[in-house]
Amino acid sequence: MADITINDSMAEMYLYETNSLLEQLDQILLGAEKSNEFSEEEINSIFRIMHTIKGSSAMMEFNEIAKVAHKVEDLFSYIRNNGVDREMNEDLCNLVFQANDFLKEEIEKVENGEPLNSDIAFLEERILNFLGVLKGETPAPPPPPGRSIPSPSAAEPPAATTDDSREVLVRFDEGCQMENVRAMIILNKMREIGVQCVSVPERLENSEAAVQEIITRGFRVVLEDAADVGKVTDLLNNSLNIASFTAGGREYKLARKKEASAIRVFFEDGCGMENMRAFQLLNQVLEVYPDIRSVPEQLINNEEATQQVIHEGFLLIVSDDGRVGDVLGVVEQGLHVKSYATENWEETAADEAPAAPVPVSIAKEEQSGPAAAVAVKPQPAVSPAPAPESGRVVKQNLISVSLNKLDALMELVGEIVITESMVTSSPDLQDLELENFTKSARQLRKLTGELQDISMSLRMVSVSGAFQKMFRIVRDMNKKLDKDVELILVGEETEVDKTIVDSIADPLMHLVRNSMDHGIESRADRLAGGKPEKGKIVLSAQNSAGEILITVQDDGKGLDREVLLNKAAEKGLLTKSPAEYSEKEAFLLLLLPGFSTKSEVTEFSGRGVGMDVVKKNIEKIGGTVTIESRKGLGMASIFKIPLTLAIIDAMKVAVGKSILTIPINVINQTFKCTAQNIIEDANGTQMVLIRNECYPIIRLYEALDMETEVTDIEEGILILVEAGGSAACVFADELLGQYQVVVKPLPSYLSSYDLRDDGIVGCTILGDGSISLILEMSSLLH
Amino acid sequence: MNEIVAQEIQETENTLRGKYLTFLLDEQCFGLDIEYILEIIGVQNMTRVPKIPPYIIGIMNLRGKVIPIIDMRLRFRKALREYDAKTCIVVVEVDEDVVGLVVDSIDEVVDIADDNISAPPGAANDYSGNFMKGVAQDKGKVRLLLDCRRILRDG
Repeated sequence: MADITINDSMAEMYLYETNSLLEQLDQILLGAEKSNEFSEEEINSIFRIMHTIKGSSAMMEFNEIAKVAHKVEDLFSYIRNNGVDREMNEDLCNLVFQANDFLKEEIEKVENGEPLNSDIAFLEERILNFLGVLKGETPAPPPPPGRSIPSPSAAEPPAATTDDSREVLVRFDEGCQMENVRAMIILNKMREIGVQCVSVPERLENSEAAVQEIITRGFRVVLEDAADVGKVTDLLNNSLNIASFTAGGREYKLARKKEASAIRVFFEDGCGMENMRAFQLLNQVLEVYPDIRSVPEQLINNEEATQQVIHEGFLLIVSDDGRVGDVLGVVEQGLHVKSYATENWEETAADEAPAAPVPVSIAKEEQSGPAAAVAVKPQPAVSPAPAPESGRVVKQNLISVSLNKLDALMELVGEIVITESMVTSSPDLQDLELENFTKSARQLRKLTGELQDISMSLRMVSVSGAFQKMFRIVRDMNKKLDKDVELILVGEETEVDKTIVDSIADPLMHLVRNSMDHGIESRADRLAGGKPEKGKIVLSAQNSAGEILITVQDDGKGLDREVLLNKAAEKGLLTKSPAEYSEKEAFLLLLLPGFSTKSEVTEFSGRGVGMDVVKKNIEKIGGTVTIESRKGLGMASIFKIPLTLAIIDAMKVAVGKSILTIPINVINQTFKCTAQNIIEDANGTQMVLIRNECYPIIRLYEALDMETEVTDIEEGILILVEAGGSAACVFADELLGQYQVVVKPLPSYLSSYDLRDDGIVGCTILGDGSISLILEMSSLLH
Repeated sequence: MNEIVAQEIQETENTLRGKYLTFLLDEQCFGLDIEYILEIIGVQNMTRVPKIPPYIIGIMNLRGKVIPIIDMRLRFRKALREYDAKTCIVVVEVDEDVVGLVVDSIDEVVDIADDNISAPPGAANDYSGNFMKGVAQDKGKVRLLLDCRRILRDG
C-alpha cells in the first residue's frame, strides 16, 4: 500500500490528474444520463479515463483503486464491442456513478494521507454482476438500433463457421507474428485451468504450415465439455494479441487488446536533427523494452519524419502497460527532451496503414542502428532542420504549477512594481535633466506593467469548475428526494482568482443542497402552488465594480420572516424584540451558528451547521453573504467577494497626513462646492444639492477619526460616490490623482476588528513605500 | 524524510530554548522568547488605521508585507514617549501573524535557565503584569518575561 515515501511531486501529479479525470467522468455520465444514451465517443472516453486511472494507480501502488478502475474498464471494453441496451442505461449510469464516488473517496483519502479502503469486493461484485447481466441477457450483438458499433465481422471471413457450442475459434492480431507459439500458449493455459480440448491444427510447434493455417483460417479449439466455454471466454478475454474469437456460437472482438499506451515526446524547440534525436531515444528505449514501436517509424534520412517529430511529437508505443514506467524512465533521461506525455493508443489507424509488420522494421533498424547513426549524423548538420516555426502546432501547452510558486511570483512582482516607482520617482532625481534615464525608466515601467498583468492572469481561473460540480449534486438529490430540479449556470466563464474558486466550492455546495432540500418544494406542493413542476436553481457569477458576485437562486418556497424569528427565539438567538427585526435582518439570522430551519436532520442538510459555515468561508476570503427572499417565490444567496490580489484603478485623496484610496469605479464626479449649496436638515446632517438631487455629505475625517486642518466645506473637495444602491458626497482635503494600485489585504491580525464595516477593505503600498488604506464605499455609506 | 525535518525543527527549537531578547521600557527590562522574534528594525513610516484599539498604532510596509504595529508603551498603558534614535520595532511572529512591537530600546540577548525563572507576582502593580509569564532574577538584574501570545491576543 501507499506509504509516505512516495515521491511528492509524483503523488501531486497523480492526484491532480486523477481528480480531473473523475470530474470529467462525472460530466460524461451526466451528459449520457440526460440523453439516455451512451454515444460511442462517451464510451470510449470512459474507457480511456478508467484505463488511465488504472495505470497510474497501479504505478502508485493504490491497488484497490486500480482494481476498481480495471473492472469498470473491462465493463466498458465489453460495452464498446457489444453496445448496451438503452434500458440498461440507467443502471449503468448508477453503477458508474457509484464507482466514481468510490474512486473519489479513495483519492480524497490519498490526499489526506488516510488509509485506503481495501474492501472493494462489493463494488467489484456489482460491476461483475452487471457485466454478467449484459452478457447473459443481450444475445450476440446485433448492435442496438439507431446506432452502429463498428461491426468486425464485415471485414473478416465468416467467423462463426459453426454453431457447435463446443468450438472456439481464435483469430490473432494481424502481423502479430509467431501465431503458432501464441496458439500453443493459449492451449497450455486452457489445460492449466482444467479445460480438456483438441486443437486444429494439432501440431503447432515448428510448423510453418500451422502458422499459415492459423493466419488464414484461425486457430480452432474443440472443447470436450461445452460447460467450459465460460472459462475459456474469460481466458481469451485476458490473452494477448487476440483480435477476435468465437466461443459458444458468439463472437467477441477484442479491441481492447489492440490498445496500448503511447508516449508522446517533444524535443526542445530548435534543437535540430529531431529525427536523429528520436532515433537515439528509440535505441535507448529498445535496451529496456525491445517491443517498442514508434511513430514515425522510419527516422533515418527522412525529412518528413523530422517534421512530424517536431510538430506532432515522437510517439513511442508500448503495448504492455506494465512496462510504460520503464520506458518513461528512459524518456525522462533522454537528451533534449522538452516534454512528454502518456496517452492511450489505439492501433486501428496503424493497422490500416500499409506498413503492416511494424515491429520488425524497427528491429532491423536497430541492428544496424549505431552504425547508421554515425554515418548519417553529419548530414542533417549540413542541411539543418528548418526552424520549428510553422503554424501547425498540435501539442497542448499546459503545465500545472504549484500555487505556492505562483504566490511567491505574485509577491515578487508586486514588490518590483513598487520598487520601480520608488526608483523612478525618487526625490533625489527631481529637477534633474536625465534624458536617457527617463527613456529607460519609461521602458521599465511598461515592462513591469506587462509583467504584472501577466502574473495576475496566471492565477485567474474560470468558476466553471466549481459550478459544474453542482450538476452532480442536483442530479443525486433529484433522485433521492424525487424532485425535478434543473440547474442553470450563468456566467460560468467569469474568471476569478484561484483561491476564490477553491473557497466557494464548499459554500456553493451547501447552498445548492439547502435549496434542493429545504427551498424547493415537492412536486405536488409546487403544482398545488401553481408553480411549474420543474424547479429551478440558478448559479450565476459576474464581475461588478471590482467585486465578484456569486448568486445561488432558487424558485422554491422562500423564507418566512415569522418562521425564522420564531425559530431564532426558540434557540435564543434574538438580540432584540422580534418586532424590531426588519425582513433583511430576519434573513440574516439564518447565517448564525446553530440555526437550522428544518427540524429533522436529513441526509443532505439540516444539521444547522450549513449556513454559518458558508458565511465563515466567504468571510475568510474577505467576502460577504447576503440573503434575499420573497415568500413563496424563492430565495437567493449572494456572495460578494472582493478581487483580492487585484489591481484597481483608484483615486488617491488626502485627509490630513493620510492618503486614502477610493476605487475609481464608484466615483461619479468630484467638485468644489460653495457654502450656499449646502443644506442642513433638522438633525444637523449636511446635504448637498446636485442636479436637483440631495446627497448627504460624509466627512472622511469624521467617519474615520482622522485629524485634518481642512474642515471647511469650501476648502476641501467633494467626491460624489455611488455604491451599493446609495449615493453620497464624500468630503476630503484634496485629490492627489488617479493611479493603478495593487490591492493587498489588511493583515489578518486586524481581521477581528470588523474594519470592513467601517469601509476599510484593504490597503496598497504607495510609490514611496508608505501604505494607503483602500475605502469601500458601500459600507462607508451605510 | 519527515523524521529528519522534525528532528531539525526540534534541534532549532533546542538551540533557541532559554534564549530571550530583552528590551527596555522606562528603565524596566522585559524579555521575549527568542523563538517568536523574526527581526529588529528601526522605526519607519506608519499608516494609522482608524477604529482599532489605540495600542495598534498603525500598519507598516515591511518589504512588501503589510504588518500591524503595536506600541508596547500603549499596550502596557504607559504614557507615550517621543520616538528617538534608540526606538526599535521588534518583529514577532505568533501563530502566523506577523506583528511589530515598538520598544524604547533593545537591551541584549540572554540565556535564562528555567531554574532562574519564578512565577509572576499574583497581583501586578501595573498593567504589564497581565502579560507576564515569569520573572527572572540574575545577579541582581530583574527581567520580566512576557508571553508573546498574550500581547497579541488578549484584549
